[in-house]
Amino acid sequence: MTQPNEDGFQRTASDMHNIRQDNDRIQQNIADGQLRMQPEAADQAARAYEDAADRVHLLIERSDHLDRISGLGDYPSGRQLTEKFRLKAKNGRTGAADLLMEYATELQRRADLVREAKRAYLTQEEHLSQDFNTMQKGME
Amino acid sequence: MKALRTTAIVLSGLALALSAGCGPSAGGDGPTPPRSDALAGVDPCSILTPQDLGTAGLRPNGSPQSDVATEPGCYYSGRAMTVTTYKNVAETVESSATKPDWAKFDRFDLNGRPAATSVSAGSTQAQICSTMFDSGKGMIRVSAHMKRAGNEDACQKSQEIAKQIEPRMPKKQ
Repeated sequence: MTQPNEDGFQRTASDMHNIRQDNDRIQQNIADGQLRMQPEAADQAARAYEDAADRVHLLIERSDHLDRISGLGDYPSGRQLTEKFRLKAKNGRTGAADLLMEYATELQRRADLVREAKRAYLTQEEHLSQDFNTMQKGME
Repeated sequence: MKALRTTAIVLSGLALALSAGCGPSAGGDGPTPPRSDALAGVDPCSILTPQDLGTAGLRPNGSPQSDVATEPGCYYSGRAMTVTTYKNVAETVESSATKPDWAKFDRFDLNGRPAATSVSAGSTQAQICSTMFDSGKGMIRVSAHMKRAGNEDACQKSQEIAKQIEPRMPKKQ
């Protein structure tokens, strides 16, 4: 029998794979010198990703709480309800909290990458400035 | 979110139904008033002091959590971790141990109180771990969640904080 959340979990796991691939691509672009970010924009973007990660961390706590519900009494309806809540918190292989942790990790990684792109921008600015000074001295 | 609200409503209803069926018993000298739970007066958002928060690197102004009516909590976030303090008026360490699918449930003695450090089966990769100890007629639970994997152990952190707050919490009844 298919568990009620199986599709949702599989879809989320697939989305996670795509997000991870996007981050890999961004990392490669920075390494190849193809991606730099203007400092102010980079700081704003990094903060936004970290704020989003913070919201996910709260969801991890709430999901873990849901998984800890040990029972709503010994009545059949209570047992059924408990099982229903448990299924919402995990799908037998990976818990919701574990999937959310992967998501938070990728959001934090994106924030770190954006800051790396900012450093690449600043480094390039510095090099351009040095080149310009050298050129100016040569012309004097 | 709707499910979480439903949980709280259902639990509130059950708590009311159970308390309605558990009135004081009549003795020879008249009814004996039930002993009130010392945990009742504990506010989850006042379990950690400003000093505790500073030591743990957590921002002040915790956010109250009421997803489960019998286990209200208070959520704090910091740069490296989040910590949530709960009081549970329906369960003890002993009754928690009966849940079938813990990934970890290590009992220990905390200053004479039953205590345990536990990881849920659905949260083995999420760097989240709780330490609970008996207090009043229920228990106090400290959940610690590390924001980044690897550096520090969530179980160790939750235990450190639990040990720090234990002397201030009501004794087991």
